[in-house]
Amino acid sequence: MTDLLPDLESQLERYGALLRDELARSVPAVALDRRHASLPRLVLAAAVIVFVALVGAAVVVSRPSRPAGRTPTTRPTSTSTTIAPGQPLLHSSPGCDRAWGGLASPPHPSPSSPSRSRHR
Amino acid sequence: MVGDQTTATTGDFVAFVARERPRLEAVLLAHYGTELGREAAADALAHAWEHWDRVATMENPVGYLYRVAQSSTRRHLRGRRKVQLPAVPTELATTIDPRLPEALAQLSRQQRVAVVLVHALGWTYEEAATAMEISVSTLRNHLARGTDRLRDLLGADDD
Repeated sequence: MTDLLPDLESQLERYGALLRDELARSVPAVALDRRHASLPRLVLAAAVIVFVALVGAAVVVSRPSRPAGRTPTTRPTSTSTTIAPGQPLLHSSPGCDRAWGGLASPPHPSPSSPSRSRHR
Repeated sequence: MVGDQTTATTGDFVAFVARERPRLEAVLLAHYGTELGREAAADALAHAWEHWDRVATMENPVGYLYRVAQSSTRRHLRGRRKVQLPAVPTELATTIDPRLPEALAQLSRQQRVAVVLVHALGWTYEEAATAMEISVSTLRNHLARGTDRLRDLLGADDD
């Protein structure tokens, strides 16, 4: 039997060349080729993404709109460019009063004084 | 700064894969066969990337990843326990017994890895023992039993 060993080793050496060829054909980006093993992780990642998206959407939807009587955080400034000269700056409507925090509305500007800073 | 660290980490890992992947794939191909060995190697390298901080400092990362691959691959073994190794082409049938892949597949996993790494791929005893995380004497035992078993399997019809 021992005389078979050299033959066996020789065959194994030649077979090793086949194995090297097989190894050389490995997928280059083998680390990214997850296939079966990656499926649970991909599902988990997708579930996390969906969960975060749903939570984000829920937060946006449930965010309370500005209450009707709530004071705005900033007052309109005189630098606003949306008000044309001569246009009334503020109206004495109830909503406008609320916008001023329940205080009396500022006086209406006269046509000759379009700039609101003069009324301050 | 963080970007530089990330780039350096990625570069280290790419170098690690280029350096160690052939050895890892060789061990896993010998252990599991062609298809499952590749999958196991992919899983092991993905694990290495996920735990790169730890793997990068290991003295024997291939041995560690070999163990990781064995753990992660166990669940895939159900239903395909047979090891598939490359067949011998007909033009080489005069120099390699066509039954050799089948005979290798019938060895125990440790015996097959030892025989393939040392006798087929030409690794030293130390290299093979380190990759398998066993002692050289244990490797010698696997080699002796593996070659004896191969002789029995291949020589039965020759006699």
